[in-house]
Amino acid sequence: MSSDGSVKTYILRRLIHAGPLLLCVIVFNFTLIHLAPGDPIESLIGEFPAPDAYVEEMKRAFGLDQSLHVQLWLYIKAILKGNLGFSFYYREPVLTVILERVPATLQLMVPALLFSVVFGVVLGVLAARKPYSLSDNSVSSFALLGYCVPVFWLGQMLMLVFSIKLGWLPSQGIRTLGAELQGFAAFGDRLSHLLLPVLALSIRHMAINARIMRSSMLEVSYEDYITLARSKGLAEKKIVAGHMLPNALLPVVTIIGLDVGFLFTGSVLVETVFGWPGIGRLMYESILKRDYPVLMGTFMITTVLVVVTNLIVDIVYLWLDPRVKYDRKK
Amino acid sequence: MKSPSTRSMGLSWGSYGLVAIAILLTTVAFLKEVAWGGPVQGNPRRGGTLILAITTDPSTLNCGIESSQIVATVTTQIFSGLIHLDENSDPHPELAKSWDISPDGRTYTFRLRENVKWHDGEALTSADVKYSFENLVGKYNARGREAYGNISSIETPDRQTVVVRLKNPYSPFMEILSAHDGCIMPKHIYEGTDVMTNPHNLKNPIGTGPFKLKEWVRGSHITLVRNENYHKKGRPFLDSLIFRIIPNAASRAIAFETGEIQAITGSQSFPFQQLDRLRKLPNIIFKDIGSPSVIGFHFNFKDNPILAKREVRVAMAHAIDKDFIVKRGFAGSGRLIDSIVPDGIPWAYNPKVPKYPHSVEKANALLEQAGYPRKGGGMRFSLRLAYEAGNANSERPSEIVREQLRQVGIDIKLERLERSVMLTKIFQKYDFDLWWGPLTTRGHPALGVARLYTTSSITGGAFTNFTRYSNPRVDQLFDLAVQTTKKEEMVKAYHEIQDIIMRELPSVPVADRMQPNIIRDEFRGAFTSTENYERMDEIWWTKGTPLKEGEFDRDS
Repeated sequence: MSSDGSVKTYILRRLIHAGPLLLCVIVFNFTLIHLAPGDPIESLIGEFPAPDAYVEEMKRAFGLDQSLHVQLWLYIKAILKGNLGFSFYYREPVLTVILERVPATLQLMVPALLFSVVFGVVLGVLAARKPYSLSDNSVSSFALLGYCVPVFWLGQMLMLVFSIKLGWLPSQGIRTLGAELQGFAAFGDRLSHLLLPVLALSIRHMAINARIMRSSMLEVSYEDYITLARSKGLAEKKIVAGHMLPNALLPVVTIIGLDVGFLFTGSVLVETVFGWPGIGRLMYESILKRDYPVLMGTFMITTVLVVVTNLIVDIVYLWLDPRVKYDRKK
Repeated sequence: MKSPSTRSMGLSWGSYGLVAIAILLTTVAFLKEVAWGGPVQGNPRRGGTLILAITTDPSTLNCGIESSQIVATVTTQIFSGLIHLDENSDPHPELAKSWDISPDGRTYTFRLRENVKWHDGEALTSADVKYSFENLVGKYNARGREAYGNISSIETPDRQTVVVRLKNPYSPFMEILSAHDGCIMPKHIYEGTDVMTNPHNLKNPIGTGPFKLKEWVRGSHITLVRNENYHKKGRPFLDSLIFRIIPNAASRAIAFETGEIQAITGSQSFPFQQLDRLRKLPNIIFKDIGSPSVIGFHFNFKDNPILAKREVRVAMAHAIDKDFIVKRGFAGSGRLIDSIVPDGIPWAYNPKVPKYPHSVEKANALLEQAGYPRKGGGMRFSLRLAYEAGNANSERPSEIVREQLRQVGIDIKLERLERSVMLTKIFQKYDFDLWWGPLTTRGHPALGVARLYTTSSITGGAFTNFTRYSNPRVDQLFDLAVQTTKKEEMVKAYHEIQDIIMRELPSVPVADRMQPNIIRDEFRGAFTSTENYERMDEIWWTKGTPLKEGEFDRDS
């Protein structure tokens, strides 16, 4: 393994690289959003023309009376001061609006990530143990189907089956409204609201993980050290758990880094279908409302999240694979 | 109104008779309980929570600075207006217990109820009304800006009297005084603050309405609880009202079926694609009520030389089969109309306007006459038809119109525009050939029709005169109609306006919008106003605690 010093240098280098990356993301997204047709003030009003006093006051209040490059410069300056701006629609600081949605998104993303990784890996291992057997074909078919099904459609199908036909699970929101539940009842209620969205969000990723795990396991199974382990008479379970799994996990770990970004995108749809009050839905509604500051804020948070997750993944690599070195000189 | 469906299998004739009598008795009892409009019907009960769906969070809880439907749906429960409107758009006392209108139509004198308290315990006074009109609704309300702009002075001779003087008589003035357009805000909370950023806009709004804010979890729900000091005795009947935010239309329908929500109201919230399925559910009350509107297409005859020819516009009016559009495009819920003033405003509607019955032959002949023969492929010319993406009153009907116009050789390219894009492209830049969509007229043509056809309304603002139609006689008649105090003169003017416009044809009205509202039948007394989300203090739960006569105000 590389020395502590080289790891620290590597992390520092990555963090320094993240700065220009974030700046590019800001400039690119800002330009893109503002080039899109549509007016945030018009989006605020109903079916009747807004009075001039209102339009002018709002434009002045949100700095929309300035030219685009001035707006961009002001935005970057504000970001450097840790200020993500002020929401046109919610009329509150963007950071406040986003932070109040973070817990709900994490409640959805973390179980979905765990579910997709754990079950994806288990299914992949099961499939790889006996290639082209019934279990392998079943897992492969399921994975193909799971990969193809659109999240939006899957969410509605799950609701139709489990909420309407069977009546087992609620279809909307994060908890039952109008009931003051406490203790285990409240926990159970939260859990019942979580199941369908987590399933809808994680099935696709579970399918991908299962496919990758299967290929990776098969690849590893032909390595010399596995043949050696078998010739030494090591038990199959020990070979799988002790030798194959740690090596085969490496591609899945890479995928987890990407998964965080994709789960976030997927959560836009899942949160919309299931009325989940998270960041994904905030992003979707901000697009419709042309709430540029909130949209920029959610993009920023997503970018930071992906950058940080990938950094963590790279560090996990060091622990999983002793061959990996991050010291440039070597 | 629907009664629960009954399925009978293998019954004898006698059983059929019994079932029929039972259904008849149930229906009679049911009708007695849920008769619409007027004072509270039946025997109201106290208690219960009603959960309704809304599509998104309101941007503010200050109805003095914003009047969009989503804001009004919530704020009309927290705040009150001087009056409220019934399902015929007639005014009834709310904060004002009575009013007088001077014979010249210029002076309105309102007398306020004595017992009204703000949610923080302060008494409502005439100063609050003056402050609201001068600094909030009068300045920022989109729908009533013409009316409020016409106020010359507001006097408050005592704490309970408000005298509003108008520059010119304005016949629909009372219509803008309900909680949606004329919500009265607390002067002691807003005076001397920035009304746009006052913290009460988002947290702890102080109103005089039947409910108070308990909790607002953005993206999830808004919980309102009973205002125990509401000025109407014994009301509201419900303990609480919860607005659950469900952005997806299909999910709203599913949540209604599973019982996670008990009502869906308002044209913006209703999942129209699920209309047939929801109407067939047992134990529901379904009601089509809302502000009248006009749905149809509008021509850009100023910029498009083809559409500048009246024969072409008339041909297109003949080419479309309105009956088919209403049946297939609106799931049978919309109603056919033939004028720019819908028959939902019966006193102003002119049934004798020029009509353009469906006739493909006539349309073809007119297009030939206009100099547009069919070319290769059978098409004469091509036009763009723009509409709002995701709007149930526009999506399917626009597709039907495209097919119907293709039959007479007009090649239609559909432009599906997201709302904010549409507002800029159509209403600001006039970048369109045809636009299809719903436009609310409200209960008076001066409020929702004049904005589309008067020269002074060519402003580039959203939902103003975007066809840029201009006719001095029409302008003159709209002015006359709004300023006269004689009803017959007003009616005559609106009839002539319709006659002129339907002859010149800047727009083709097709249907009055469907405004379905649905609620579980364990709740009664809902949807009794044209502003269908207002007056929720009258809703009661059949499983609540019975109230005796005298324990509540029955009068609306």
